[in-house]
Amino acid sequence: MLPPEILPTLLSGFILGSLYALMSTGISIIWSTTGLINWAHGALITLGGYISWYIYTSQIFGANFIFAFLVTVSILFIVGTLLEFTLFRPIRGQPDWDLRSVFITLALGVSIQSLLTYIFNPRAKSVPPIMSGSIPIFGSLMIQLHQFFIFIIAVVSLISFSIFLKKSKIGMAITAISQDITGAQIVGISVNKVYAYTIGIGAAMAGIAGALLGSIYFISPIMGNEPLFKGFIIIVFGGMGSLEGTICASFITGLIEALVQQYISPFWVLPALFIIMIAILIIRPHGIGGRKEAVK
Amino acid sequence: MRFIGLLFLIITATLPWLFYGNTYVRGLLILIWVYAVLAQNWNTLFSHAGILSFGQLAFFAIGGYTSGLMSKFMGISPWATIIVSSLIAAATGLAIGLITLRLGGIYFALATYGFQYTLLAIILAARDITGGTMGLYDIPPLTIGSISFEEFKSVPYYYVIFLIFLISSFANKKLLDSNIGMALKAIRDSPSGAISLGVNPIKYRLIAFGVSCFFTGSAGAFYAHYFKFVDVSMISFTTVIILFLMIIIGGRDSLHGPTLGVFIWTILAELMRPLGILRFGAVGFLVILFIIFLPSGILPILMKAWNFFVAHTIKRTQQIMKQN
Repeated sequence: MLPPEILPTLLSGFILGSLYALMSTGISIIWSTTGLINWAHGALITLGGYISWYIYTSQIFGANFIFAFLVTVSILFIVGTLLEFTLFRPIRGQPDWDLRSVFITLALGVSIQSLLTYIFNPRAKSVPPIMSGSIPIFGSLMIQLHQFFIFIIAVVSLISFSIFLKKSKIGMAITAISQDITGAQIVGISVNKVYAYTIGIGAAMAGIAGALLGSIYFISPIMGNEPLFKGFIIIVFGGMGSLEGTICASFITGLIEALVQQYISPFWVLPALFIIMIAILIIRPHGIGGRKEAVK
Repeated sequence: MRFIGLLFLIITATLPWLFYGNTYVRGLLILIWVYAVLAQNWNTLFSHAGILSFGQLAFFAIGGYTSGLMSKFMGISPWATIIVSSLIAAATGLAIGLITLRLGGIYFALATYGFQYTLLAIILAARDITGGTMGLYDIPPLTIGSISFEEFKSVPYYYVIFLIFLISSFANKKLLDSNIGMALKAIRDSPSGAISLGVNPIKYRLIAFGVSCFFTGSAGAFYAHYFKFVDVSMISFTTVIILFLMIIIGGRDSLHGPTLGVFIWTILAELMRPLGILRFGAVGFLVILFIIFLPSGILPILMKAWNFFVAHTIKRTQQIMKQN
């Protein structure tokens, strides 16, 4: 007989996994297409959380979460493309671009975080629940409607993202560039244009993740730091550039996190994930499904 | 260049006496050198050896905690524990490096950050020994005989950390000028080329990593005996980022760029104190500008200015002598 707490634990792990999938696909698509390792992704997640919280609680259009969510995603998309034009394009192709991109994204993250702390003081904020009450899903297992709603948004976003990547012209161009940049250029894909779209879309995914994470947990200036590292760990687990692998790894990570939280202690979540990651890397130095050329 | 070095040495050696009456500035001066040791050894790793480590603060904490614990509970002289704990930090670094150095770029960065984070969890979990979140109190101060280094308003501490910095600079310079340094640069610039010439990348990177961890550990041990207190705030992601920013501002291509960066950062941080939390944002913005427009930092510009000044002075003197 299973212990009674196992089903709620697995459920919360599953919901967490869907949010992790959103943010790690964002990191992964930027990384595999433009080669930029975005250390500012955590700060973008925080930015998304704050924007959606602000719009939702200031009730510009009533307490409409969907509206707040859509505005957040659009703002983050614009921020992402602007970042590509102002910061990443000038240094792309420079000799030590990999090191410089690390520093520029780290500095960007610090700037965004400190700006947010300045504007909305460092106190943690909570998003009022979108819906109250809970519904049964399996026997005596209950799920809060609020969490269920968040989960639905996450899944819908993920599905539309993957359809976008497979069916739309830009999505196919992104995939083409991440697979073979020379080939993509030969068939007439404008690399610079696609890079701008990619970083915009990656930032929008961060915005989605931030809005949803923030409404389950708290909004604070450092809320993006742990997800950033979890996102990197997930990409190592799932293999860079593989959407299905990343999503699978996200759910596994969410489940591991929920189990560690339940049976050991919340503080050991990240160490446990890191230890598993290092063990995997020692066995396969380029990640489970990672491409070899990703490792220098 | 000799001349600048000597001038620098004299100025820095007299600094604590210039600010003898000002407790705050004296504290800052000591912290500057702690950061300078960290920044220098970190920069050797990622600029010269091409190893992007995010976990050097783990070795800082290892140095601090082992030295603090040994001198507090085992009654060993702090002088001995500083050396022993630096060796422990280096040994841990070698063990970690042996496992993780074969990983490329970003994976190594993640693995080292993972190690650092795991160490943080271990320190917090081992509450009975390390004090957990409360930190480790009552670490014995440095003494010679019966004279405590806290006499003369802690100025002797300044010279201890300054000495550690000098030894670290000397060791790093020797390392980078030697065959090992050449091998490291070859591996950084062309890994496959270096391997084809029979250079073993793991071996040379391990040496650099061990040296870096040694001095990082000794800075940590000094920190413990200076504050007589260590806690987990020694390991924080913010400090990692601040160190990176310092290195970028100063200049990462040379040995003393990071030191200059530490000084500039400290002065900037003091000037921008009225900005409050926004000063991190301002420095972040500054660093972004640096990376785009001035990627090699301030030191090369200063050097150019100095060389121009010297050349100009020589020319002027020659002209004047000709006229006479």
